[in-house]
Amino acid sequence: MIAFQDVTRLQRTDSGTLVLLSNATEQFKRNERVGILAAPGTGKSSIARMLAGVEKPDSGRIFRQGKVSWPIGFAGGFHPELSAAENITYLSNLVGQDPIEAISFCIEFAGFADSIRQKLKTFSPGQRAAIAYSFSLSVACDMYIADEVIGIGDPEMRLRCRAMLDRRLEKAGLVFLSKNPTQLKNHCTRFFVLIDSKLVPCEDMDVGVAALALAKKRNPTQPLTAETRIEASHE
Amino acid sequence: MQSTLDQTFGTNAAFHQRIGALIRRDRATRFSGGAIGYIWAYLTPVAFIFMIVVSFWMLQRRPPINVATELFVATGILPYVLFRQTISAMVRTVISNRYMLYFQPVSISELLLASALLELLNLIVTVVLIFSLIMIIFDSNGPADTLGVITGFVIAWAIGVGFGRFVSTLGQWSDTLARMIPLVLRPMFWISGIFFTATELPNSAINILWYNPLFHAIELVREGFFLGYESPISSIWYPSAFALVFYLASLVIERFVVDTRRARHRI
Repeated sequence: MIAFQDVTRLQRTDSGTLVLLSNATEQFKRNERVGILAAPGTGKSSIARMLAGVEKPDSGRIFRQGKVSWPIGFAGGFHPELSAAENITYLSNLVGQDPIEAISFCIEFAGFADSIRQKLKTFSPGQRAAIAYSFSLSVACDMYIADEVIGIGDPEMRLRCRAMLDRRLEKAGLVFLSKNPTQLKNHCTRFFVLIDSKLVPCEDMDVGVAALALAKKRNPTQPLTAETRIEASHE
Repeated sequence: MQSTLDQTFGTNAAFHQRIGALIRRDRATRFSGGAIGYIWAYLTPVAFIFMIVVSFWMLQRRPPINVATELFVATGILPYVLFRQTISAMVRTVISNRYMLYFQPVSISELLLASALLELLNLIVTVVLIFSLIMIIFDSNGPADTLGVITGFVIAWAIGVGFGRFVSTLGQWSDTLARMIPLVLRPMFWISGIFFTATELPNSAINILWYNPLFHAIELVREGFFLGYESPISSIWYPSAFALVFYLASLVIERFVVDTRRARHRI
């Protein structure tokens, strides 16, 4: 369970202070799959890092019960000069799981049985992503956090990701932040949309999409990025 | 695959396991990429000693106490290296290992502790290696008072930890301060008694340099090593208090930086 109590998160930039999240009070439970829709550049990653416990809010409190994952697929902890197996070993020790089991989990899930002793810098970006992804699912957590990345690779690999995540979520909760409503609909059952730095609950994702589109029209000061334009044309 | 899927939930690695994992990972990555890797950690002090011994020899300087030049230089340079590298490591780790904070509950304090412990472990290996080598090759005597030597090294480390934590915390707040640290510490190499002893100094110099805590640590090592050597700058309490004051100050600054969200690298 993760609970936000009156959480505000600011972002200091050269042109002033932005409010990413304002006075949010919400609970995300272990038996829930929560989807949060947000436009690009409005604070998804910051909220994900607060959920994961990496960052602190500017005001308010965050309570975490049980083990909470880091954002799924996060690869920043992997060192390019270490082999995949070494990376997994050190990080497994850090998070308190058996390295041997974690390595066999990752090999079985992502392949690479032959190259697991190679330095990570020799891997392609896609392979590195697969290792980071499988390592994040190798850890048994009570809550998983996803920041845009919910599956990786080709369609076949994405199905495997989906199946493994579903197995994990039999006993755990999920908070998934994304700009992609289809992905959110696919994975979640409870929805929010981030509008004007407020977490607004919505009955289903279509309501959220409409609300976000409306908010964009109403607020011409917020420039549309290339990404949002593409997204808008899809809708 | 079955076993990791069915393991119990909600367990994190214990504190000592996290520190151990951070140390091992830091060891593996710090000198990664090069051919001789971690040997650099031990080679650097050896090279340091070698260069200073050569300069003593070229300047035809004799150690102020009647001992082998190599041993005299080693007793000065090794506490200095411990002090200096502990500070560097603690300043560096909050940047280079910041992504470890994603693996909660790892904290900045744990990163700092892990890097300080790693420096201590490195130096223990280096000290044993260098002193044994010198004693075997040059047929010198071992330390007269081993406990005294250890005390000196521990104090040099403590000053490094206290001051290192202080500047590391300041560095999280201000880039300018972080960049000033090496400049401010540069003179320590010249004023801490690496090349000379306190007994050689005039009283006026002793009165000033007495306030340099590292000088005490180095002279404590020498008092322990060389039978009968006594230095006017060898307090245990002053450098210990110095280390403690800076350590506690770092906790206060850390609170301030965290509470007012002033960290440069937001985390």
